[in-house]
Amino acid sequence: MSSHPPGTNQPGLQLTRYHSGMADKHSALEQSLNKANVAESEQAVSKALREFEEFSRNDRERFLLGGLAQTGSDQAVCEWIAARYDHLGRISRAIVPYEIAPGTADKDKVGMARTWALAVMLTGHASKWRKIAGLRGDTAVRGRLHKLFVTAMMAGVDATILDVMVDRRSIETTVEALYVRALLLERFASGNLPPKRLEILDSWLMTWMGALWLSREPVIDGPSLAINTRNPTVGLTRFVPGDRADFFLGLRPLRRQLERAAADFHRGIIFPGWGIGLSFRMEEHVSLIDFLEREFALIESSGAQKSKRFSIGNVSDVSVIFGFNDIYARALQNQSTMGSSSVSERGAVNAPGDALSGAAARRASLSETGGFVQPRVGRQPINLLDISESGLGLEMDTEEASFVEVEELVAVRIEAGKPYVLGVVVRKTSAHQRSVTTVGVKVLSKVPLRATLEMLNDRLVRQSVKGIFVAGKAEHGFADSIIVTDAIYKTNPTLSVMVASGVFHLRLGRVRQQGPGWKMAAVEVRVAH
Amino acid sequence: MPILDESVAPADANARRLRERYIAARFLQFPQPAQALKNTANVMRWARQLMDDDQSRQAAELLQLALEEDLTQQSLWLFLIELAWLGNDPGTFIELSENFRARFPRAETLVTIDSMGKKLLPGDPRYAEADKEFIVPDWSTPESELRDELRQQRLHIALVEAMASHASR
Repeated sequence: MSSHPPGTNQPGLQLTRYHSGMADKHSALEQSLNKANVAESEQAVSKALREFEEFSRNDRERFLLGGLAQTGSDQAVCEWIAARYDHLGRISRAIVPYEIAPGTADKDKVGMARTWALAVMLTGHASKWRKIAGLRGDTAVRGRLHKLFVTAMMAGVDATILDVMVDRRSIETTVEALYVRALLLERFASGNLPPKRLEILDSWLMTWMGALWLSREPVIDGPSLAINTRNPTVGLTRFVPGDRADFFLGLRPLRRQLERAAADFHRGIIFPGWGIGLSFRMEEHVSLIDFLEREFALIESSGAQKSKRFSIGNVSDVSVIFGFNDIYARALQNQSTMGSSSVSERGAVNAPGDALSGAAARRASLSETGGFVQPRVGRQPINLLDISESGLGLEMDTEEASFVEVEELVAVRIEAGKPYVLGVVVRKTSAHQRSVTTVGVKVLSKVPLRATLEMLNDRLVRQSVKGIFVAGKAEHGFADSIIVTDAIYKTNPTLSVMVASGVFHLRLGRVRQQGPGWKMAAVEVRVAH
Repeated sequence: MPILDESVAPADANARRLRERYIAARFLQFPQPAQALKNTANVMRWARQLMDDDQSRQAAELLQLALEEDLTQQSLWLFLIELAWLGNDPGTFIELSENFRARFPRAETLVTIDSMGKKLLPGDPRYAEADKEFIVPDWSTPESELRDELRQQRLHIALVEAMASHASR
């Protein structure tokens, strides 16, 4: 264990004797609290929380800013942070009176309400940091939150307006709003929300406290989420009439808050203007907006459900290839726009005009590759963990996973002889077993099509362009896309391609998705014959 | 959707930079938002593509951002008004259409807007004089040269055909 205090300029994060001292301090606090004196105990735990947040601020900030390039030592510090919040949460729950005697003075009631607020807030903090650390979720957390909220309500303090401190900032809130915040964090963090975005989400929720209130009746003017406080295993779920639920959270107030956050960005202000998230890249904030819009849309759409994920019982080896160029050359060799009869495209003319000379093709390949897309041999074995309609989980060696970037293209062949599925890496987590990393993949197409296009311009030798078609579901075809390299997209070309037996001239439209060296753009058909 | 406000686009250089970073990140195709958002035809085209992807809220935001840069882009106002009408959002429809009326009092499209208002809010006195019958406009679809449904559908059918031949392997 190092002797550097946190916040000094040592490389990476390290657990020091100061960290263990902080843990000892919390244990001593737990022993020394006089639980009969609720107000005094609450003040002592609040003070310990402020001290801990000051102490750990640098570690938390550096861990979150460090992104995916983290060492075992960084991870140990992150787990330590989660454990500290967890411990403080346990201490705070132990001082909650859970009931208030009739006739208690209002002033004393407010003091007691603070214990509930502190306990609910810390339960939320602990739950968030467990997720940031990639630790297994605490299954008891929802039950704890329900108990805290229900008892606060019975004691008549659920709606008492209080101030809580979060990272040096005083936030006006209620036990109810903190309860909703913790449940929303639980709900949204169960998906593909990486640590930085989870941290930003939390500061947004803290700023939206005024909108986080529950009703006892189902919301009639729009979709809502529901809570059944008698079910300790379930938090906020999409409300379906007939479900057992005793509280409801309307979606409209949340939508309005999201629009206000976006309005701040229009004004050139990073919403909410405080917190660790202020120093994150703009893309992280925008990705959170995209994420929440998707989640809200999912809640709003009556029939739609997240596609069910099937875990693969026996770990299954799959063939995996990363990177645009390798996928184009190796994975999609036999998946061309010409259909399965054209096993090899060698020598084939995919578009009207001259056949490409070898030199022209090589030049094209060089100009497209640029400095971004490095050819890489897919290393085996990579295991398929689970699969759904829209995504799949891969398990691979952590060292090898360090070469894989989030937003990188990936092609996975689940069954020999079947087409490669095309996806994009959306997350990487190294949990329980440190030598193994789980890679989350969002599926772009189950049957991507390799296309050799030709750039239509005035040159004598026409340049060939590599592309991968991703057909959309809509029959109108305006949701169809093509993946090309950044370099090609920037030239804003008109491209010619043969698909099945038709010849098409295309322009590239809106970028629907992008990653290192590639862009997936909408296809605009200008000529079809 | 928040109501359009001319003061939104900031003058301060730092805030301006942050706004542009936001636009570039949110709408991936806009590396130079200040210029791109003043190109009405392009904004129309991108907004339409967002609609194709069932992202009408994002389309509305893009149109709004473009109008914050230049409020004289009449066709973007009409696109937004149509979106509010299609989305059955009377509050936004009224705000936008009244704002449009104040800015473009001689616009021929006002007749259609009033009829749309009458259909959306039958009891509203603002639209009492409007015709009940009207042809539903298509202000959210850019000119046909850039967008041809038949051509687009032909490519889609060809792609599906090629995919099917691989999937059945």
